[in-house]
Amino acid sequence: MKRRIRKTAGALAMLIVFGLVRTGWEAGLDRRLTETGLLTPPPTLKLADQIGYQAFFAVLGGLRPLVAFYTTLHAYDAWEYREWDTVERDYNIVNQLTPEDEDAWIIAAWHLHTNAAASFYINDALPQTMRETVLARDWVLKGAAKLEEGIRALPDSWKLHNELARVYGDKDKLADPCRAAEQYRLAMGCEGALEFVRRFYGYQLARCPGKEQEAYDYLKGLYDEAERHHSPSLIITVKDLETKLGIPPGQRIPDPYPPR
Amino acid sequence: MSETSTTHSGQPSAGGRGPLRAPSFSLGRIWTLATSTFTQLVRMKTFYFLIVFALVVVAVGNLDLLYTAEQKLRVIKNTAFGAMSVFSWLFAIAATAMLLPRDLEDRTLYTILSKPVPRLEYLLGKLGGVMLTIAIALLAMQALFTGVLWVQEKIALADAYADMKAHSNFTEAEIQTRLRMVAEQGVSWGLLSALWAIFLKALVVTSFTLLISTFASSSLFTIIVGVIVFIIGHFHKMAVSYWSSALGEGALAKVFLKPVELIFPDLRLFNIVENIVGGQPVALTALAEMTGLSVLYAAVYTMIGLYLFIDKEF
Repeated sequence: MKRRIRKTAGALAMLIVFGLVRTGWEAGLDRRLTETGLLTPPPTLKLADQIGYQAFFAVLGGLRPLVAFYTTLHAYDAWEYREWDTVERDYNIVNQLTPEDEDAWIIAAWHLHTNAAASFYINDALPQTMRETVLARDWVLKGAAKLEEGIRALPDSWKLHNELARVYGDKDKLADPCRAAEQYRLAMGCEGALEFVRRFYGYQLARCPGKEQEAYDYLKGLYDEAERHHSPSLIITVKDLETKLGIPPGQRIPDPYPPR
Repeated sequence: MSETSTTHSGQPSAGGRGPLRAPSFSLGRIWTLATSTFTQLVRMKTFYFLIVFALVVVAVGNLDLLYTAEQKLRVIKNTAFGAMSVFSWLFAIAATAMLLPRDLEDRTLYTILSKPVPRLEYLLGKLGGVMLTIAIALLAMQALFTGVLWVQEKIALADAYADMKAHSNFTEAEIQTRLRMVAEQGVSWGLLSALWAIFLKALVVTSFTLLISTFASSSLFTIIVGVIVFIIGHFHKMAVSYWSSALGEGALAKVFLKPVELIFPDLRLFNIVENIVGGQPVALTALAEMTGLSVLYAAVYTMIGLYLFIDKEF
């Protein structure tokens, strides 16, 4: 018995000495791995209340993306049954677990600002004023807030700025072309942004009160830049602005559909 | 004809030159023990897990959710690597916990230790056998998963190309950018780094389970303690920082919390797998450092295991 105790104490002492040797090394390695984005900082205990302790331990055990995937499946199920609060809660978890997944932010926001909002908008069981002006708008605002949260996590994502611009620019959603234009402008500055974003910036700027001249100069510049920008939307917008701003006929772009 | 004698290990020796002594440390003996352990584990139908793994990967590959091409590929990777990770640590604990008691039950242990096989070699052989099994299983899973991912990547690239070509507004550069983004989530050499990190974690888990089994009274005890150490190893850093902020940096906190940090391994470091799979590039120096740390863990745990095992009577 004495020997057993002596052995156990010896083994524990060795473990502690080894611990003293390695903890400094591990702390440095932990810091370097976190700085290079290889190691995600540990989640807060608040997450355990949201996802349950089993899932929380799975997250700690390195199965964070797998828990996010399972939660996505759960959200998908809730979506089919139009349980919007569950969809929102599940995607809050997914976004918290995988903030680097820009597509997850976009889908989460889409469920809120389009699916949930439309679901309330067409719900005949609710009073018309309430469903159109309160509930639907609330969900649109939640969707926009979700995208803003995503942008804070991934400020260089052109896709997230583009999505938020679409919510602001949509006349059935927030109908705020000035803020939409601002988001398109931010999207243009991000790496990998597709060219259509440049045109969309101009369209929203054209709808923003007081920015007509700026929009005209910008869109005319695009028109002159390359033929690939001669899309019907761009031509129509430029023609509208020419009329609004009273541009002399000689300076106007050719009308692709001249009156007969 | 010269007179011959035999050593106690049964090897003949030339008379007059003294008995041939077995080398005190032999990699050959360790390898023999490792391969026999591997055979022992294969006979336990270990590789049946591969069937489940194949079904999961193929099923996830064919899930039709609201995913973009990149997301779909990412989900396949996350699921496959999650399954590999779970398999490796679960197997490391369960298989290692069973080895010593089974050798004792079959009386193989007496046969081995009655020969000139140092106990260190016995432990290293067992460790090697478990790691060999895990390595082969991981490579098989990686091959299977790479095949599925490659097929899904080709499908995703073809779909993305056709989709963008259908819209005349996209320039060739934009199409190439999009295809590059999809391909980044496909098959890549970087995924082997994630596989290596899983293997390293399994090495640490196997070595601490082997250490536990040297003083454990049963397989069940080893499995339970092994799982507890595994769980604590993942969250003790977080718990220590939480309690430190709650209790303050006082003596009480140091007395209770510091030993936990020193005794239990820090397994959270191996969670780099998640981000490597997500496409984060990993430097070779970081991998080398992780390898060095894991080998150190395995070496120290094996030596402590030997300290407990060396004069253990059966």
